[in-house]
Amino acid sequence: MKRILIIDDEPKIRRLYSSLLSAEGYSIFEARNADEAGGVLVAMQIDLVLLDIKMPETDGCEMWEIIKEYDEKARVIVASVFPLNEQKQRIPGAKDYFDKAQGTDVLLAKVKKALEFGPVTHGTDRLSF
Amino acid sequence: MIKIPLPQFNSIRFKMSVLYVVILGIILMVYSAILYFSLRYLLYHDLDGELEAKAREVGAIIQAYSQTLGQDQISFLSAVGQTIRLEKEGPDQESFSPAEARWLQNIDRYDLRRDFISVLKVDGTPLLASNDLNPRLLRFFVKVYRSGPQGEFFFKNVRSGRRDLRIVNLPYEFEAHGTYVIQIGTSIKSTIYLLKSRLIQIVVSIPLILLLTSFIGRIFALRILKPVLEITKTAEKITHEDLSARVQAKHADEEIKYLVRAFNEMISRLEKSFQYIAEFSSRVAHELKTPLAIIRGEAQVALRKERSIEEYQRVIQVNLEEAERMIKVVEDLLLLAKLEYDTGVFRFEPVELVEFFKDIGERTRVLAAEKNMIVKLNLPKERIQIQGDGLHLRRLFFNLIDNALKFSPPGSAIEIGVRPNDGRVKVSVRDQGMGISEEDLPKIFEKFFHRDRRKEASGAGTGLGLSLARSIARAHQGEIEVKSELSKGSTFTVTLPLASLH
Repeated sequence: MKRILIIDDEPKIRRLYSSLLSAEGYSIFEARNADEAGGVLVAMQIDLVLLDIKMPETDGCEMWEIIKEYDEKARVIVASVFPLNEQKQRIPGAKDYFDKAQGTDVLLAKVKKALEFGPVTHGTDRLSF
Repeated sequence: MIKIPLPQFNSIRFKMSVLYVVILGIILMVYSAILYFSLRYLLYHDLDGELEAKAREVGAIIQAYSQTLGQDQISFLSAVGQTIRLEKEGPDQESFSPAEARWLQNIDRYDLRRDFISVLKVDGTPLLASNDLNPRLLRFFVKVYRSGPQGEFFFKNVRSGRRDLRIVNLPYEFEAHGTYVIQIGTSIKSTIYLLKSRLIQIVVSIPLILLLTSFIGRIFALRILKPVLEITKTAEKITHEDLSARVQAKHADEEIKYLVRAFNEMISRLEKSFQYIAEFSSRVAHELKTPLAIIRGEAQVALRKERSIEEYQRVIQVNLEEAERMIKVVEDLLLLAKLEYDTGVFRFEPVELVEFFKDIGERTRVLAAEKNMIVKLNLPKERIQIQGDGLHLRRLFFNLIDNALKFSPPGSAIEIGVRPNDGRVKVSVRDQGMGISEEDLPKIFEKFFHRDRRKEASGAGTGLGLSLARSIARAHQGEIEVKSELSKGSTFTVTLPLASLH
């Protein structure tokens, strides 16, 4: 079962994406700041991170660096209310970008696409080449 | 080169070239007329002086002659004849009487040889005339005398054939012989010629001058107006999308340089305004996107499959909350916009502050009770009047109070103080909460600034509360200041002017 970490300061967003994605069979973890996210990342292998940009305590860009430290091959979808081109400017190198106002259908599609191929490093239940 | 349209009567070009030329033309004509007529006057004045002198001299000589010749009429006639002829024919005697000698000198001095001399009786009948005065010309002389005031001294111009003469008519009283009229006619051909040619000069040169100045005036007008045309061109290039155009004014005159500079600065200010508006709009859109994302997401997820009634209720509840959040943002923004551009939104009336804050204090205590917080009120004893809109003032102070309650720990105290001071009243709202960092302090009145951007702590705050509070204060001719220390607390002070005291 794929593990998804949702990092966002807005509780309603976390709850919404959580219920959406767990209904699809993913294992969901939530974090609202760097500490909580770090706690999750260090404890287990995360397949996908949904990362918000505008957060009060730790800015999304900083968070991106932190995630990279834990797992440089981490797959991240930036999920923000900023327009897509601005998201790409702020965090180049993410796997995909999502404007939250696009709606959950779009989010689901992007999540599925991002998780199409298995993890490159130490996979547990899939073969890697 | 821009197409310059046909001149309008109201245009600078018209005024500069045509009007200016007309005025100049009038001035030139008046000036020329003055010069011409004063020249004319001078010339004739001189001439007349000479003529008069000549005539008197003739009279004097006749008088002298007649005295030597005798008292009777014949002698008189002879004297007249001698005078005239001597003047005309030169002396035919070798020796002259003193009178003659003097007369000869004067003839030369006065240049009488070429003048016509005629002596008339007072009634106009000719007595004697110089030989060169042919009968026809003599008739003219007589006519001239008769046309003037009889028996009086006057001058007249006469034209006969190709001769231009000026004739002096001088009644002269001769001792023992009575009054006769001495006429001397002198050629004024050169004078006439001079005046005529001067007149022609004027008549020809004035239009030429006007033409030239109109031409030059037009050139100057165009030169001066070039920057104005450039400003017009540049102004036309400016749209709400492109405000980059500026006018160059390197070679313009000073006054135009001021205009150009003011114009360029105005465009820069406009540019900044548009930038501000664009930024603001995108900030607004941004603020509204999260509630929208939630509403859309919740609806989409809920509809994916059949849910329980409680689930649907939850979704509807969440969506309602988010809709209300957006409404608050929109309303606050509308109010802010109105405040900034149209303070007619307020209804000012006398507000008594002690009553006002007692009421606010009550309500605050109710709100504070939820967090076990204490509310202290510091109100003066005497009544304080201000002019204000009660509704919006409540809004202002509750924004401050809500913040104080929100960002303070449970059990702490907030204090509301009202202090009149020198024509104004200071209202302070102090809390013992988390305070504001020094770097945030200047930003807190900005729109959408969330002090602590943790959504849970902020609750349903729109981030516009302080911005609104300041706008309301300013609309009341007041101001808000803040002092704060991290972890110690903050004090917001609103200063408002007092109404006339009772």
